[in-house]
Amino acid sequence: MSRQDTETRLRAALSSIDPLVRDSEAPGLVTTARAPRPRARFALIAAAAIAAVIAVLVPYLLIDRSDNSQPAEPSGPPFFVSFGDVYDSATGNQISAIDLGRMRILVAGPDGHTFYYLIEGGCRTPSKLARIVLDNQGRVASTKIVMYRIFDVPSAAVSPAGTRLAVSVSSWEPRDDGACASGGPTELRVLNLQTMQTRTWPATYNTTPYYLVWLADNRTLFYDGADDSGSRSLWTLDTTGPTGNPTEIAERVTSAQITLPDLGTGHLYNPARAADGDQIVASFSTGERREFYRAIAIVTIDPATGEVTAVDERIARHGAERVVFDASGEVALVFDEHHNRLGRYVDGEVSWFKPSNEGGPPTGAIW
Amino acid sequence: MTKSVGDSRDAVVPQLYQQNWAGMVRLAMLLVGDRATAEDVVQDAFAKLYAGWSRLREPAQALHYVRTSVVNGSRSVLRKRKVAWRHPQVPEPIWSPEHHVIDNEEHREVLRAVHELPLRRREVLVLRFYSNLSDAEIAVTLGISEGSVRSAASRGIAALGRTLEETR
Repeated sequence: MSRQDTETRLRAALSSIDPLVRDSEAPGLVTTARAPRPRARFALIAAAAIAAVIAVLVPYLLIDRSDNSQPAEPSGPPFFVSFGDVYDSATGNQISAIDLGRMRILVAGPDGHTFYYLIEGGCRTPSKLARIVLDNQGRVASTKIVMYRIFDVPSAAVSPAGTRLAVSVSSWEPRDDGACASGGPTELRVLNLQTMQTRTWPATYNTTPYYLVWLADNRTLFYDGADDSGSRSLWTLDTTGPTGNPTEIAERVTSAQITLPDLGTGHLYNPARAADGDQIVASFSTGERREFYRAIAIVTIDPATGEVTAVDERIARHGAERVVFDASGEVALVFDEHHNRLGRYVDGEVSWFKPSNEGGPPTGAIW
Repeated sequence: MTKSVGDSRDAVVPQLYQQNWAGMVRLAMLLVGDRATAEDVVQDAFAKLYAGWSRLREPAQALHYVRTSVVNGSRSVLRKRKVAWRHPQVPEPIWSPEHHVIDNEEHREVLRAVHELPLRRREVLVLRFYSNLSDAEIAVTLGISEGSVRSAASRGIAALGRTLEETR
């Protein structure tokens, strides 16, 4: 059965429930949530106690004592990868391919040769976070697992000095029928890549950190955090401060939703440290399509205040849909899904590379 | 800002509820499997929206807020069922042979196969192919990366295709 057949059958089956619920059947709106039953309340308290114990133990257990070696010193031009294909960042030419299998590249180190990736698990096999170092030919020089027993990593960032890895991590927990892995609450972890020790900011802060960005001081994290309702805000966090107290997450600087005069209200995507090191650059999209493309812009944000300090809407005319910045914040990879091509965006202009070898849009690219 | 117009919730939330109740119940049904639980989940989601209206920074995103609450609420129900696994009070899903609400056996078969998928893949497929959300919207709704959305969708479709092939 072809993939298209499967999708067609899936759409038809999902739509088959439409007649089962009619608009006219809506009962009156009740404006108070149902109170949890006493047993459920007890279960919540027990779960909170267990979570607290795990929050204390997990960072200790995650310390990697087996090998404190540093990655091999890479050399040569920086790379970016799209799925398993390795490209020269300057020319866009593919120079090698690595067999990713069940792996997914998450983030690159500042040297352009060190990449962190998720080894995706299956039933009863939690995912792992690992590091891969490529030599100057784009071949695998070394690999090492740096974090175990996780489910998914919504976001990851390597500090400017390459010494700390920040990841938002959802932990493993059994599925509803006890058979397969499923994602639990998301917590923030910072792994010191020199000592391999991990510090954790638990999920009890009620935010899922997306789009982690290190500031130039190598210690402050900027991120876009969503609470349980999906409502998003921008945050900063001093990762070298003491942990364990929710007030230590620095001030909520502003809403992650921004309204631009020409494009309307939308969200920030793929933020990065700007070229000056003190500002944040990010792509902005309302999520709406205009003809073939989503309307996007590039915005600059002051992480101290959350204020937008500059807007570049020139990128919209190039038909790019997705933007990923390099470590300098000056150069962006842009994707044109309609024409299935990838390019570099510098100062208002795009130079397009040749189409991806994948045959599909190169949306998996990571600097 | 919504904070300064808190009174607007009495006008906006009931209207939003009337317009979207059925769609949200269908979404929750696809995730939890039965209508009664789905209605509870949706009721709670709108109650949370009503209670948290003053904290909602962008009213235009209220529907997104409700959808996320419905997905989280459905996930919470499934987690509780995990504790009470095989508990006789867990209702049979609408795609089970005991139910005849969906006439088409092929559709029931596909829905059963979807339900066999790991939770993450099931959620991604329902949000993509039923709710027609973009990868970015699904990522925010589920609290995962866009890469994970694409990966889960791709693997979910592949697994679904294999299951359906086997049951032919």
